[in-house]
Amino acid sequence: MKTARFRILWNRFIGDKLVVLGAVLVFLFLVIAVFGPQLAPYDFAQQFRAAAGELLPMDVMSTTATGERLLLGSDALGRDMLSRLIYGTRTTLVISVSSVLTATILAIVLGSLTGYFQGSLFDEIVMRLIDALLTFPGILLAVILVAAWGTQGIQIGPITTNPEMTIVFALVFTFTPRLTRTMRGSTIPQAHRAYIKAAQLMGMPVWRIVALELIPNCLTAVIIQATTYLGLAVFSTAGLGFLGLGPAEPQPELGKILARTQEYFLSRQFWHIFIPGFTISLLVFAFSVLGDGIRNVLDPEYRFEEADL
Amino acid sequence: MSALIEAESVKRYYSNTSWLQRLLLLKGNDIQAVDGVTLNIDAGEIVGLVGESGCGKTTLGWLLAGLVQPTAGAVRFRGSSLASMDAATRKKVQLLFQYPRESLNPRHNVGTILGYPVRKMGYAGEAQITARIHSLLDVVGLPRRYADRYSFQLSGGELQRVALARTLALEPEFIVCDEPTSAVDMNVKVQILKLLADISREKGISLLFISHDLSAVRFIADRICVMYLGKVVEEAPAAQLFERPQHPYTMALLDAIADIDPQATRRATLEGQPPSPVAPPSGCRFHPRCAYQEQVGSLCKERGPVLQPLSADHRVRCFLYPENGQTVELDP
Amino acid sequence: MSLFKYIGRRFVSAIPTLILITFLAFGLLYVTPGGPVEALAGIFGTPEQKVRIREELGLNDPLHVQYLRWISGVFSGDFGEMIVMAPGTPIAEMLRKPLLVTFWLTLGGALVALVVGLSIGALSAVRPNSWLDGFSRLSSIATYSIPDFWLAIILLFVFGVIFRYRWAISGQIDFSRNVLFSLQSMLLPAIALGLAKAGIVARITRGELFDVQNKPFIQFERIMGLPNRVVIKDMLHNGILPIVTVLGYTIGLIFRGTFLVEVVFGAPGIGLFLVRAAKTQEYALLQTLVLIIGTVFILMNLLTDILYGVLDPRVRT
Repeated sequence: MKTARFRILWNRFIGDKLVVLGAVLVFLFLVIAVFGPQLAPYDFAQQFRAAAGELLPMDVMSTTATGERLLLGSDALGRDMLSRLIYGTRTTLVISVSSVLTATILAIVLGSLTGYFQGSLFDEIVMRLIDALLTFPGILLAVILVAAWGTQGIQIGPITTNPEMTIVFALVFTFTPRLTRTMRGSTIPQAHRAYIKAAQLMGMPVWRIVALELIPNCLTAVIIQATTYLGLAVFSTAGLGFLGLGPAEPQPELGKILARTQEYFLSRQFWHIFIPGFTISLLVFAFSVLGDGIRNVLDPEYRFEEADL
Repeated sequence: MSALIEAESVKRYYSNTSWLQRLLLLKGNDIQAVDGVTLNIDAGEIVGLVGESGCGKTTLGWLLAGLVQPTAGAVRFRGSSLASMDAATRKKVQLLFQYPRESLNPRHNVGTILGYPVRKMGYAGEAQITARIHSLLDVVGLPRRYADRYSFQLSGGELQRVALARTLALEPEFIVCDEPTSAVDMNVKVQILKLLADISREKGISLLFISHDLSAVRFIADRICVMYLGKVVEEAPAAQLFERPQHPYTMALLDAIADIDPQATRRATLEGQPPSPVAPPSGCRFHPRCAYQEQVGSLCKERGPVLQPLSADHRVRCFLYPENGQTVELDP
Repeated sequence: MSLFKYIGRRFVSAIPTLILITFLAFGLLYVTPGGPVEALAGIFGTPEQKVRIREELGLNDPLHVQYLRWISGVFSGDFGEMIVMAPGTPIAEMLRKPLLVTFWLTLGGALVALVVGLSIGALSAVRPNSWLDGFSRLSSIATYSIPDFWLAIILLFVFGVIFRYRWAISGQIDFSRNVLFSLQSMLLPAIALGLAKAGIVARITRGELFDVQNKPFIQFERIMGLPNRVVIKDMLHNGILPIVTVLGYTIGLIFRGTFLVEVVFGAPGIGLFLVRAAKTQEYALLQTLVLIIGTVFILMNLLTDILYGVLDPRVRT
């Protein structure tokens, strides 16, 4: 019975060619992220001198003074573009995926609790806070938070987090509110169902009701939304990097690489401007198409909503 | 001897006031779901509770099961208040839900669903627990292999049996059965009713059997209460109520069954919908639909009648019976 | 519910959110690494400045007193002073021009997004599964994926570096000085902003109109053989509520994109200001921006809600 259901879902998923393309792309990007150090031809911080002996932005397929071939050229500091792109993809992916993952877990906990205790003081406070956070459109909140915390890492008691964590925290703040709302929305109708009442009547403790009875029945919507947020997370991570609020030098990040290309605008190396931006677009494209596909599979009746933006 | 479970003039209002109204100290209209019900149930007794949808019978059931707290009045189990009861005694009062599919978590199989209450009752160790689960399935007449099944694999009757097994696992003394047969076929209904009656007799469990299905109630109940818009209007032993109904509403309800039989004499017909419990009619709540209103006159509109005894075990709430114990002759 | 009561209720329900926004803005100072004094003094703050800030904040007072002092300052238009970027200048004065620039850019971007998005969306709703519909689906996904800041860089590269148009790289948007030149300067940012979001607008429009067009009276018009122009007009007329939603989304989206695009073009709007404030850790300015942006968005949501209520009485219940 379960396998038949799975087969229907699988056929629905595989039926859309665009979605399959998205899945393949996401897989490739994951391979790049995981095997980045093995795939990259050079270290991302290693500086090469151009044939003339100077530190220059080198064009695609150029040869360095020491004879290395740089497939995609170098940036203004002579660092191999291909290696930086591979490592940059890795950074961007790690930040986006971990922030969406953290936000989703947080949202599941907060959303199920507020939904279960709907109308309580706890619910009222959390939801008001979420309303306030929601008035700031997406990445803007992240910019403000990164600015407030600084890019040196956050001090929590004796521990200072690494700088990338600041960005993850900021993004978690931007994603959690909407995801929490979604989770709360799917929890409320479930919380009023008879099996929850039955559990209460048996004297089941609240943590057990929420964790084992309620949450497993409320996950579909929040998982769908989290998948579509992956694309948005890449967008935001790259956006922060682009604004100079990304990871510190020499750590490469896709948005940061793109921002640097403006420095050698006048050398008219079109490819340099094209490639990092295209990589970001491809990544967002892959995630959003895959997210679309997963949503179509799990919820064919779905309509476009504000929460997706 | 005092009754096993006692409800003393319990009221349950549902607030209809929004937070904004509350902020501005305004008051919305409350829904008077249950409005002053007194009801005693003895050990081993099966009491039927009938009435139209929305009359408050489910709320009364939930009050007696302690699932909601009364706005006023008290529910007592073995003489002590249900609200201030320790968890162990609290479990002796259970509820069987109207829709079994709803009341069973779709993610768990039958074994898991029964496992929790079984463990809670002190059974430990895999073998002991499995044995108890199997004996529970035996009691409700389900094959033992059903322990591995999920709710979506079971029929309505089987689901209700699983729900009953889960309830019995807690070894209750009183079970509120909230329309347990409304979601199943006719033949299954009879099986479930028999099962409930048998279990009640064997284990001495009291039941409050809520239903709008009069034939089901007649089959199972020792005593019947009729509810209308949050109030009990008539209460009598089952046979007596069916043979000699005294309240116009009860007559009308019984006539509704008799409709199928063209030979039956009509005493009263029920027309229209019950009024909204947000704004119940003044005086006797039944008067706008009552066939005998003319006979009594304006009294019905002005004042609400009280529930008064006609005989030792028959009580009724109507102005047709002005003095204690005296029956007024009705025109046919 | 009467319209008046509906509007009143919306206003009242926005108040707690507004209060929370002020908490957030105020609290921002206290989560900074060095604490409020270091934060307000900035990286170049002199010891004298720090002493003055400490006195002004009254850090020894309880937190709620500090908050009340700060909020009463805000209500009287005193947002504090710039410390790093333009030492001593009141923030309120610094903000006027950037707000205007961002306003014009958002408007321009929204215009591009709406014109392109609505027309593609409407056309593909009329002819579902045509080549246009396919194109619109593909282009909406594509534009959804293309970051607006990348689009901005490409436009800047093509028009500024290759064709060497001076207006392309000026970022000068000041309608009080040179209207024509300002319009020219706005062109590329507006296109970058609008085009990147047109896909989403098209997608929503198509979805909403697709529902409307399956209503019997539209089918009837179709059968009667009325020209597409008339049918689309009637559909838009009945799909006005969804379109208002689209409008709300679009402005929010565009505004979000504005500050990235402002950075690319060097247009002196709120976004560029915010990013500079973030980089130089100009916290008083950040606080002010949190307040302003929060308030603007609350008002915008309020406006959309009210517009809903005006257009569709069912919403008011």
